[in-house]
Amino acid sequence: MAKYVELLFRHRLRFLTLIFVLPASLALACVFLFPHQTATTSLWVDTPAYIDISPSIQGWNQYLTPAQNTVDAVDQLRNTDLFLKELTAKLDATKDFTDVSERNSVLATAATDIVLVSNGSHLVGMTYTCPREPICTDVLSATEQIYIQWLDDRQSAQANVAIDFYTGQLTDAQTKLATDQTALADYLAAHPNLRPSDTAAIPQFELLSRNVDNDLLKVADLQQKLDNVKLTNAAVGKTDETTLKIIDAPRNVGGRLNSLPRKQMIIAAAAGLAFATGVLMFMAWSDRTVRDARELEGFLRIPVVTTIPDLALMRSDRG
Amino acid sequence: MASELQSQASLTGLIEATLHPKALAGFAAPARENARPVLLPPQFIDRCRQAYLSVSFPPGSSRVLGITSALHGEGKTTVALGIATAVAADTNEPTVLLECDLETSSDEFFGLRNGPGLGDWLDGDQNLRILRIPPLANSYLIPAGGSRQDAARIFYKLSQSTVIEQLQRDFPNVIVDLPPLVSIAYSSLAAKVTERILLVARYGSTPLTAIEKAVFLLGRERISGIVLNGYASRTPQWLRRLL
Repeated sequence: MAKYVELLFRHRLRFLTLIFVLPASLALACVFLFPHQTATTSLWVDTPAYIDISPSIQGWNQYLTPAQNTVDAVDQLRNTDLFLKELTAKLDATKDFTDVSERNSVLATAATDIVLVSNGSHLVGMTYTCPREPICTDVLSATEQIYIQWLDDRQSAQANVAIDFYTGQLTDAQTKLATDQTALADYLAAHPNLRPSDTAAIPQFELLSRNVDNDLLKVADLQQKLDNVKLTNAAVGKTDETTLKIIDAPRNVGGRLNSLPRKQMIIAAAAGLAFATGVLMFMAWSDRTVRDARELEGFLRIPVVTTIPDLALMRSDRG
Repeated sequence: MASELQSQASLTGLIEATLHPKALAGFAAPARENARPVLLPPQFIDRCRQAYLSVSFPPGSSRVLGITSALHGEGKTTVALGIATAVAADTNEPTVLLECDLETSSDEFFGLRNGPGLGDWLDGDQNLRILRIPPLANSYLIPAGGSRQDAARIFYKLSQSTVIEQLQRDFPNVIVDLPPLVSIAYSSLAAKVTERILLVARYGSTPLTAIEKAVFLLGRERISGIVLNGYASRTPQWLRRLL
């Protein structure tokens, strides 16, 4: 260990060059080799609440803020094949790609390179860095559209389930009403002299009448619910507009310092560091001279009785 | 052989003449040959002191310590001089630095001009030169002399001689600057010259394999320790303490 540290200090200028100057040069080269543009967009998110369907979106964590929930949802969504397919289709439709390699490169990294940030409780920021300006905004626009469409689909799916459920319930209730109405009509036909006030005196008449009344109430209630769900379903797009607003449309913010190709720079820095470490290891391995008294003692099992500093250094110290 | 024996027999006289020179008539002080003073920083001497103090010598016996290294240019002679200076200063006893690196002359280091040295004396050609190393009055040097092609033969003679024993009679401290072990073919003889040896390694220069080979050639039991010379760590001290 002492030997490595000694080599590090002895050749400190070389290692400083390798560790800092080389990676910095590589990183700088990355800026020119990998041109970069950054686009950004902001979304305002409220907690969606759907009348008579669900208090919130399925999978929405009640302990997180709407912004955090949205970031989580988009983060999961972008890892799906569905997202990639939709993104591919939308980006192809823009016809902004200049060649196949650019298209492949963007599609290969877009899903992972979009940076999602929740700013406060309701604001979600999306940033994407890419080689060319229109592509960056296209990717963010497409991502927003896919997310909103995904929300719409989920809400529609929820509403459809509710519509199916209430429709079935209503049908059953209407069938039962028809049956009970027939039974009451038959009973009245068999007892023509009965008046509505006789229900208290005749239990069977009272039961049949009450069944019909209850059935009517139930049918009316289910019809109301079904109408509400249908209304909600019809207004899914409008609901999203109220719960999710694009505050800042995707726009290019140029090649700022914080939008430098960080991944490439990190790789360059890591490569420089690895190279410097490799050089250090090689120098330590190839230097078989005496550098450390303890190493020498360990190697020969003979004590180092004294260590005499370099005479020239001692003379310069005295001077 | 006869001349060698004659030379060795006269060694005591030479030493006596060096340690206690007699003033010639008309001269205020006796003439004495000096080496050029090599000024070492006090911190360097202090570290050398730490090195020789870590070597355990048998009580009552003189200190004979060999200094060697795996390769040339690791600061062996400087460390040997530093140790000789530290021992001489601490003990106040006559201390001699015996230069035995016959292939690499240290004459220039000590400011000498290709004069005769240990090799010439062992060969029976010249008298043994014993020089004083200023500024200490009790610190002496026996130079190796000029570089020799037949260093192996001379070193063999040295290993077979009783020079060290004779020197010990008058010099309680004998520091022997041995040749670098991996660079020479006769390294195994170095272990025969002194019982205790310090191995000098240079920081950031000496390969571990060379030191390992030197340890193998000397024998682990002969090595009293390693002196890590030229230490110039760039790691901050606080970090070194943590590591």
